[in-house]
Amino acid sequence: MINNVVVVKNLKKYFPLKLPWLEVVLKKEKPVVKAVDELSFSIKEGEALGLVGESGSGKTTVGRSIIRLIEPTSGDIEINNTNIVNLKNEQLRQARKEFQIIFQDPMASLNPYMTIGKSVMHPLEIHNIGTPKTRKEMVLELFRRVNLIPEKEFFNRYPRQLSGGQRQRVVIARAIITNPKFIVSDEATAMLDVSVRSQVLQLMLEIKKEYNLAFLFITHDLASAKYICERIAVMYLGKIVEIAATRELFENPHHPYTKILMSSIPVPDPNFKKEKIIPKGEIPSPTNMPTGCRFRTRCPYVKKECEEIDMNLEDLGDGHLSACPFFK
Amino acid sequence: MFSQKIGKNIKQLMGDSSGVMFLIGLVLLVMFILMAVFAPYIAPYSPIKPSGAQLLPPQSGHIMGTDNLGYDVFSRVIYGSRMAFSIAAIATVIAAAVGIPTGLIVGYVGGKLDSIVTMIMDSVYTFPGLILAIAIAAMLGQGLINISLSIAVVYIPTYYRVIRSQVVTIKSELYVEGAKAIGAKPKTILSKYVLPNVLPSTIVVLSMNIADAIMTEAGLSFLGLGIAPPTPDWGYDLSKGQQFILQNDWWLVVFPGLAIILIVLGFSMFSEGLNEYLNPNIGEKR
Repeated sequence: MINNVVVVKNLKKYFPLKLPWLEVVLKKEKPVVKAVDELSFSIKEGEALGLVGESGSGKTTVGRSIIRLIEPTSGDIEINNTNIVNLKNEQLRQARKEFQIIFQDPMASLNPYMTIGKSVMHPLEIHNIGTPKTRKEMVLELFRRVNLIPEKEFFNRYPRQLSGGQRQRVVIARAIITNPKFIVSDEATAMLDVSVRSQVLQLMLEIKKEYNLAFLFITHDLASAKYICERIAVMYLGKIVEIAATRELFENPHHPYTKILMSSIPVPDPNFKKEKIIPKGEIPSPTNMPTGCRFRTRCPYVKKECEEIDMNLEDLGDGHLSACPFFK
Repeated sequence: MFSQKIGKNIKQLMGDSSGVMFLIGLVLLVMFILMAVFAPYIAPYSPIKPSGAQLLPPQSGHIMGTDNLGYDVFSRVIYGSRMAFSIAAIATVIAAAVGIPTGLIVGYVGGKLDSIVTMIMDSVYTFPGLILAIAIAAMLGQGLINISLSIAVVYIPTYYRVIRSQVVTIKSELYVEGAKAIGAKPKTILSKYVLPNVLPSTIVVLSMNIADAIMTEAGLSFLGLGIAPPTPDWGYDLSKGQQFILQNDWWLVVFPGLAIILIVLGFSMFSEGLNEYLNPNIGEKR
């Protein structure tokens, strides 16, 4: 039995909209953006869960709120059997060595005035791990591991002297130096060019195995999600519409939205004629969400009943969950 | 502030050769600093003892002439640089010591604290600098520390505004969020992640403020709110000299005035050039 490292239950993150004061006085109901709405999932030790969806679906908000970089509106987040939602500032600060995040933009996620050696060493200092001497050793060893060689030279370099791929390696090194149990990767490879991307993905995969990490891999690139993740969750407008094992999801997508996503993956074969399903219209405004199924305004298979369904995930067997009650 | 405008205009005049501008500024500053440091060796006479006949025009022995009390103008101009520098330095240090931490903390914390403190700072900032300094100086009275204090109050908002606006931008940077994610304390985030990134703009403001402080100090002394005479001070000499201008005793006004102009020009050019090197983009933000 492999333990769940991360258990998220009914996670909600609503952003209140700022209004002119007159409208605040006049309107009874304050409009909110439901960026993340009643999300539940779990990630096991050594497992990577992919979180895919188009821009604006709330993927990044999920990533940031489950490690409380932004405060979730409600819900429970258990990491390593601790409910981090109830932690006070100081406790939370100390708990942070158990979970880390890798951001999208490696150019912006390192302090330009700190050498990368110091940047990577800083988490050790903050959490009082090791002695000043062993800390430097640990950093150098990790630099070797993430292939920043010669590591002693890299230690004293500044982020501006590094390429994008190298910086992302530094960020990965910083994320794993405290030996965390769980890492959120927020589109970590989206801004790297393709040649570097595969190397960084490979590195993340290796590190996941070596450290037996639970990974939340947020991406809009289904190909890289397929490469890394054991399971994939598909998000649409703040809701998970389908979760399944990666292979099952690719071979047997159930929810119409997942089907559309799958049909949008380019196939490197000019003669291959694929059935393309194009969604209708634009993603609706998150302040004015459709009733019932949120996807119904764009769904090619929309029915009258769709106005009334709740988007509850139904088990289709083998851990394949879908929010569409049709297509049985 | 005024010296900033001077700097900008000179920069326009110089076009691409802002390196030259920086150099000229530097040379002027070094000259004045040497003057202040080695005043006793350069000045031919004591600045507070009569050294010849009254109101002598420039001539050999008194290259800038003497004033109505027979003091050597050249010696007073040399010694005056000491007063200008010390008041400007003290005032700037006080202003920076108050303005920078306030801007850092308020900018980082944000919210209601930010609105309140910014409102207070802005209301100070809207006062014409010299008038505010006059009011405070009139309240505190004469003396080195009092004058420095009243000048400092005028410049605190300048630091506050520059630092705060930078902090507000920087705190939403990914590396600050990253520092939060690794569990850094707010204190650590401010000192290790935010401060180093706002410091370059501070250095520019610092050198500009020294120039403004020198002008304000001269202004206060001119109005009789500065240092008690007969301590040599350019502003005081200027105000005394203008009483004799109708007698064509031009040297009493021209030389201290020239000193003020040159030192302010030096600082303006220096800081504008420095700005170019340290942060090419900040020009518009200020």
